[in-house]
Amino acid sequence: MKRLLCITLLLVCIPLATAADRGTVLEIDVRGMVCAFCAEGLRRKLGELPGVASVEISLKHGRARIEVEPEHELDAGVIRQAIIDAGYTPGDVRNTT
Amino acid sequence: MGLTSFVALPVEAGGAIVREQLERNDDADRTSALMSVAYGLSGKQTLLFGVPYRLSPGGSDQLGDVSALYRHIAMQKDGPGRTTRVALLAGAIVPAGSDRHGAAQAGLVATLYRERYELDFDFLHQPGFASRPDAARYDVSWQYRLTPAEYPEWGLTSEWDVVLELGGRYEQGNETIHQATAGLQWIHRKWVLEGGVIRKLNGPRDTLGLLSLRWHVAPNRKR
Repeated sequence: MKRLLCITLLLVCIPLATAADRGTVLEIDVRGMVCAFCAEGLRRKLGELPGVASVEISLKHGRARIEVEPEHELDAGVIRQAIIDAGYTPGDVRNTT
Repeated sequence: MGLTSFVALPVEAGGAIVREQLERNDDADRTSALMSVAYGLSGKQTLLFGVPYRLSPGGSDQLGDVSALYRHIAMQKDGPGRTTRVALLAGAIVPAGSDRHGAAQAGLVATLYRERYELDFDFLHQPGFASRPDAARYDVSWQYRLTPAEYPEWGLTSEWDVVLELGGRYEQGNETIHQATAGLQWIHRKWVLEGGVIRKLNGPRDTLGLLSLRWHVAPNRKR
């Protein structure tokens, strides 16, 4: 019975720990992105922000997806300013974690 | 972005785009290179530098006059996968030799992008100092994305664009030489390789070949 309890606890805890390690994933609408070469400037700009683990761009949906490192937080205002600095118009930020 | 035209699309603040361009005129037996750098001051402000260099197979090489321009995006209307922008251009031409004179530069560039096509229009006036003749140029550039027809859900994939352009180059005392350009662009997220043929439509009806590579330069300030 004890063994069964331990296995159950492990099965519950491992996925929770993995999700916590992944960190926050944010998506933000970006208006005005028009080609891969142009959007690379935005990808680089967002990637420079402290705590950003990875950045993906969707030209199809006009959106950027930012994965934040687990121990960091990223303010929506900082993301919006980076998008403006890259020459585009920011939209809504959503937490999709 | 056009082959011979300016564009009103942004360069990210602190980032730069370098372009190396080769132009071959078989009729005049002349090869020239142009190195351009676009440096982003902010999302709306860009510095543009151009250094032409003539590679003369039969004679001596010659450094051309340096073009320095400030571009300010004065109007910007963005939407999902679309943009309309108008930018003002101002700057100077700095002579490379003491025997030459410089010029001022002022003009505008507009870019319209919708779904799969881009339209660029530019006009630049270059009033010369001292004995340097006034000059001017215009370009109209149309680009259409051949592939992919639709972008993927996520990620920046390479694409092929076809380019058609009409332009004109005027120098005081001479007639305006109009030119038509047709070319292809292979656009990757980190670089653009492009080539085309420029045909002069009046005056000496030369045909020129153009090959160019542009790439992003940005220091990694994070680590």
